[in-house]
Amino acid sequence: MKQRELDRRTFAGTLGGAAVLAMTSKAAIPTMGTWLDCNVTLGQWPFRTTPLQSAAQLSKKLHEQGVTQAWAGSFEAIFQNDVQAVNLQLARVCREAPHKNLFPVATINPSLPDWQSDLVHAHEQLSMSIIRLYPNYHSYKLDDACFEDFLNLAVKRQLAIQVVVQIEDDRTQSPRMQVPPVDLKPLAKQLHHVPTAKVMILNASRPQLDAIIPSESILFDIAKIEGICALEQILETVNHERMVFGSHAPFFYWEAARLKLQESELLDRQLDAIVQGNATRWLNA
Amino acid sequence: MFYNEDKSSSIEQTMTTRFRIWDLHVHLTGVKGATPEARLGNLLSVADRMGIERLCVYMGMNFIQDPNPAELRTQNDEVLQAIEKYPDRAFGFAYLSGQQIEASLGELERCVAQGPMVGVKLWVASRCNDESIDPIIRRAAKLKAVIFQHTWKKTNGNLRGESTPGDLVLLAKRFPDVPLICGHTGGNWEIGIREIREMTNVYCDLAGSDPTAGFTEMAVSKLGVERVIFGSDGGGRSFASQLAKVHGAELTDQQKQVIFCDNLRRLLLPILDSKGIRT
Repeated sequence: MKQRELDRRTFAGTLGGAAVLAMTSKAAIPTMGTWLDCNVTLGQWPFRTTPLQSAAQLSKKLHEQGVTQAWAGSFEAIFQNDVQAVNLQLARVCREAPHKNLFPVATINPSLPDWQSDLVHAHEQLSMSIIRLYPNYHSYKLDDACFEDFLNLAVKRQLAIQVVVQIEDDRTQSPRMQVPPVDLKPLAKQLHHVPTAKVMILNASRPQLDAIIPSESILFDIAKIEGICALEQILETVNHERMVFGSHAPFFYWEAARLKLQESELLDRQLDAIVQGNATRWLNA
Repeated sequence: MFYNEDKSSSIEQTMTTRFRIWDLHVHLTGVKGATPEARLGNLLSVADRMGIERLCVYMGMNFIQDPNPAELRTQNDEVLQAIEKYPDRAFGFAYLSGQQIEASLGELERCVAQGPMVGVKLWVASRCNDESIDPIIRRAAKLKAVIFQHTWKKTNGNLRGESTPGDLVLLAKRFPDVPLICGHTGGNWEIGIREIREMTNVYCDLAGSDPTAGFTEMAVSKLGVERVIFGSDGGGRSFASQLAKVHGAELTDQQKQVIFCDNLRRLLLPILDSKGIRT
């Protein structure tokens, strides 16, 4: 009991005065130093200057919250065609981040010619083992041949794959750049052909998750999941080993994902698994 | 593999926080419970975990966009039924409609003048730029009821009767001395904040959009902290993501306290005092 209470207080302190000192969930929040955020992004979002935009600012913020590892993609990779250069820059920026808690995630655009060279470069030259995809921004569907080709090469190299369903609510996007969310329905069929692919879904809403719930190998993050006690409601029917902590910071306030863990009543082992265990196991599988 | 053992009960629940938090914007939908009071009870249990002291509740157990007079009455009856059980934790707002002026005026008398409700909710039945809504606003103001108007400005198009922040500004110009709350601040908040800036009687509701970083900071910067009010839009939204808009904002604790409770409380105090409700 003492250890549990100490852990909770230690955690509350990590909110840096911004949050609720004595707020409690029924289960013990994991101690500082064990958090893994699967979903952060560096760089300039073209339509808004987000707080914590620089790698140094984000690294510091995450460090203050007890996040020792954050998987960081790049907004520039969404919009630029020389993704190899973007990945190289991302690796450098993460390496120079003050708290060594940003781990670069390569972006690959399989609709581009010679995308295979980008993947080989990210894997062999930059030692990146996670690939982030933006099918909606890069104009392909999950039942397109290029995606299947990508899956096969990623599996051959034992790379982990993150599919980003959306960055921004389509009701608030620029009228000159409306990008609908990724349709996840073809994913199950694709994975039937490539069953060993390691796939994690980022920024899916609760209704969007319905398409991948039957595919038990697919993990998903909590950044866009909404509703009162939404996490515990999902876990009534879905194995908690599929849910990971992802904040979508700095586009979203980081505290949103953190407070979702408090709002739902979760078991200790569910919390441990969500904030680091599931993602670690997935990456190392 | 699913877990069905009891949840750990070793940590006590408390609603002690460093902030006093009142939630402007809560519904009885999206939450479990067979009755209105059961749903409000469940909402309050979660509110306790999140440090929220009071909830403003409006609309019934099902959303009806363009209610007829009987439906308006049923919607308000469900809220009355819910708040009766929790008078120290919940405030009721009467659901009214610009398409049902006479019925709405009747509901104002029944629920606010003669009943326990302290505010008014206008949703998407008709746009508030239409002057036909003015009798409702005039009577609500006379009763000192807090007036909340839903607004969105969706990139992919609004509902036919859905107001924009610009529509609310037109209403605000007709009633420059009446405080009006801009629900969702248009959702597309960077536009909504700009639209309402000129009218100092219009307040910014933070509720019901993604927890996009920078929203609260921009609202405070452009409108002043006294015009920004915390709300969640639960149960469609989580309390968590909406609380994060304030907890996570780059603001002082004093500014956060003003947003979390003080502004809403200031707007409510005249009607609370007139009803003898102490907070």
